[in-house]
Amino acid sequence: MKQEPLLTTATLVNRLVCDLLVQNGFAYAHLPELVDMAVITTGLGALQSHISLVNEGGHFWDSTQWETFPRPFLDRHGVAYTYAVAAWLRDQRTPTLLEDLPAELKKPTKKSIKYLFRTGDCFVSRDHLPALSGKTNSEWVQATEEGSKSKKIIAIRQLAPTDQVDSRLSECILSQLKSGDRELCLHTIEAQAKLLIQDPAVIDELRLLSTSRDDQIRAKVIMTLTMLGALDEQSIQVAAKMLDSRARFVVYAGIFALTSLPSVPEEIVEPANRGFVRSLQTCDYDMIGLFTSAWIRWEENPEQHFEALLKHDSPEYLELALESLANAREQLANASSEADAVETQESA
Amino acid sequence: MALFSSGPTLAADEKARVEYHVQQIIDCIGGDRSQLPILSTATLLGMTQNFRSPKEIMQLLGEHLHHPTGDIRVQVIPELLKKVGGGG
Repeated sequence: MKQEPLLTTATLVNRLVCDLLVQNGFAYAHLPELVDMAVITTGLGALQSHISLVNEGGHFWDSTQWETFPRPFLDRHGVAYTYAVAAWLRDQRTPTLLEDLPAELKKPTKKSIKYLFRTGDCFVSRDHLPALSGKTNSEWVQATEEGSKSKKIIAIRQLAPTDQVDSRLSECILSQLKSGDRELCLHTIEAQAKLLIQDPAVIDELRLLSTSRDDQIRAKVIMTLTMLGALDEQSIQVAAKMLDSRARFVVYAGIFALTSLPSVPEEIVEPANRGFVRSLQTCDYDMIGLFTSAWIRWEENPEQHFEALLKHDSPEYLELALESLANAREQLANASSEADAVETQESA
Repeated sequence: MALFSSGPTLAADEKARVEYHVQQIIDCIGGDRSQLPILSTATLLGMTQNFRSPKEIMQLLGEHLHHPTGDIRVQVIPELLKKVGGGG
């Protein structure tokens, strides 16, 4: 305490703001980044801004998964921008907080404050009204048509599935997919994976995007087409090529798509074999499980296929492959009996 | 196209992410708390003066946040601090 008053007080601030969030029912109080943002928003960030924790590695591949795969720390740019929003919310053009910030935060914060006061381009509501709830799809669609890029991204994320055909919603998704902007496109693909709009024009655009050279776009598009049940010959070929990628998430998307098919053309067996052997060599159990599920769907006798594939070149992996097969069958049997039990309960 | 960017120093989707989460936080804790004074380093460190205990510091912070801290216990384990050579 005597030695490190800054760290001690910063820890107490952080924990107390976390308690404030928990007591108010905030669903994401377990995410450190969001607690950091709340600390700054409530005016208590001064000490935290003197402590910088950085970890460049380990970011999840899908940048649209804000809450599911958060970052471990709020980075320098995020801290500076949150300060700018805090000043903007308090209508402070030249806040005294600037004098208190370390040099590396001062400049970006000042720049962002200047921007916010010049443009007003901030989603955060200054009138204290809830801005994320109570809006209709139609209002969010409207926001995608007229807002800044960051506001458009938030609006796209807020679109909710509907039971009825909504041509304006389809047009909105289509125009954002065609926007040519990577970030808008990624968030729109994510939205479409939730909305599952069966509009032929949207599906055609997704198929077109499946040939993108951007790994993240390609992976998300292939997974969305799979969820839509809209894989065509071209996208199946794209998925097969993905099995040879060096990026794990690309392989994951490829096998996720191909597993949905009851059978695959002969030319896909080879890349699938290669992908399966690589997953065995790296002991990637999740991936081994995915490939095994695929082989159960495609082959009448997967044991025979595994033996033929591994017996000569990689016999040391045969046991692991057969074990994975037994596990996958057990999981399938459990899932099937659970489904039967639900059905019996419902009909009773 | 401008040669020098005059906007924030983060990409649009990062800007959106920060704004989205700040709005989520405000929707939850109330807009009034986004108007609380921004305390300086000196003010915050001043709270630790006069040998204030962590419990007392918590109380001062709670007053700023309008958040009751009466139910929060701050336990410092002296044996452990002694063992690792601390003792603050």
